[in-house]
Amino acid sequence: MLKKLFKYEWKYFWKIPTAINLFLIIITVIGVISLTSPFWSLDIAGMDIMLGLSIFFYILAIAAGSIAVTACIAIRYYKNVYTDEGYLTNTLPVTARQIILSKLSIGMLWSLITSAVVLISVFSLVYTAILSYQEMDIIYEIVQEFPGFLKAFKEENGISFLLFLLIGLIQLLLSTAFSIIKMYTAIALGQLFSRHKVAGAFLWYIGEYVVFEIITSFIRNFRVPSFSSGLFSIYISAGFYGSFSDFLLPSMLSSILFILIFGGGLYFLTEHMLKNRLNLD
Amino acid sequence: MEALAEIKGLTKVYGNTLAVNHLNLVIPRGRIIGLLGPNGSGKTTLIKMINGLLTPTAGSILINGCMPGPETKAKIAYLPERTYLQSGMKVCDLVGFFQDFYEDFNKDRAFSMLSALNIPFTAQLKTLSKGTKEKVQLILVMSRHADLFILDEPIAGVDPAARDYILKTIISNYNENASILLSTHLITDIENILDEVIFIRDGQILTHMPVDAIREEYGQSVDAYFRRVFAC
Repeated sequence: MLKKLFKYEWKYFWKIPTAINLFLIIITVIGVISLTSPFWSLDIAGMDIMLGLSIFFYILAIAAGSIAVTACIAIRYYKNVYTDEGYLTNTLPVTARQIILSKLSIGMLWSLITSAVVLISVFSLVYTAILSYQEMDIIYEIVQEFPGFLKAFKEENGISFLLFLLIGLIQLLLSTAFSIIKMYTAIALGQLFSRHKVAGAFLWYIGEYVVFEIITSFIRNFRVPSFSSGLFSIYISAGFYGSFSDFLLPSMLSSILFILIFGGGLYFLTEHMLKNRLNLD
Repeated sequence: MEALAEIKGLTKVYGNTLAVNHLNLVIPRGRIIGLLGPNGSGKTTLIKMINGLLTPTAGSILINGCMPGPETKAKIAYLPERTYLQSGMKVCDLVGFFQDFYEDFNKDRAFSMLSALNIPFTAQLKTLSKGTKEKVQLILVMSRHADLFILDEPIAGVDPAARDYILKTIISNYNENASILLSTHLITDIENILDEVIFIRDGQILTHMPVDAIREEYGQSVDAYFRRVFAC
């Protein structure tokens, strides 16, 4: 049954995320083409402002695209499980766990695809911008230096770069699942309100955010310096706090543990709400 | 014969409102049962609890000896009073969807009924009228070989000509081990197909008796008896 749920979830939840990602790709292509054009080297008054505005709107579009995909994942879950469509979803001969897992998996897939598109987009633009200033191809340089980097990484940190990537991948998957589960839990708890259930879901989401911020800041201050449940901020912080073995590995592992404990807790709460506390209007 | 469904002490409270009040009910096999009552009497609440869409405040529901869950959902064909299908899906995709999830679904029967009512297979649900959407839902539900059919207002939104077809379909598409629980306000239209009626008011069962017994005992049709019992 889970396979069938996956099939239909994918089949009926691809159009809008695909359109958003296509939009992001088009923006990137326009950005790359415009960066390579000789227009920017013209000596026109107000060129700096135009460049600044272009970068601002690019960042705005990328952020809006990412947020839109996240919103789509939440809306899909809410609509399919807790509105009129929920009358079908919740009368299928499947378990609450199968419903959540099917939606979570497809949601994660779209979230990861969008993150990859955003990453490639930013890289393409930065790479194009660097190329316009440097004659040496930076990718060629990285490829040349890579074997040496791998050796140095292992010598310095006592762990292979591949293992580091594997841990990073696990953390990426878990933090993606965690961010979606937080929305699902808020939607489920929003159903406890007799009216304004969507507003209730927003309130729960804000509540979750505040609680997790307090917990992470507590861990950060008393246990692991610069601990964060997010992968990105750990990488950023690594630059300030030292080597991989000193900072990054303990921080990544504690972050994984954090997500497993709290994400697992939220998952079971969401499942409990759907299985034992369902009350469709 | 073993009862199809047994409901004991079922209660549902919404805030300060008692929607279903310590309700006891046994649904036998092989019967078409009308669930009748005025607006707000608790019909839909009862139906939703049997289908696991509402969590009871108290009491128990057993269908084929099981509490509402995946096992009972595989045996209950439920038609809600609203459009519950994804509007972006095509009619033929919906048939495929039901076939994928319900082992007792008969695809040929569904396509035959869709043809009889001139519903295009390739049409997207959102392009169809409200009445046609209701027909599609009813066809999908009645194309199953379920043990218990629960139909909440199945004929309210369709034209009188289609009503006859639908009622004919309801009678012909269930077997002697299955039962149909049918909730409606259009008593006159369905009276002739009913074996039993349940009158419900304020979340409690007032009467549960065979239709013939009402005619013999009170010398009235179900519709007339309903009007007398629920007179304002």
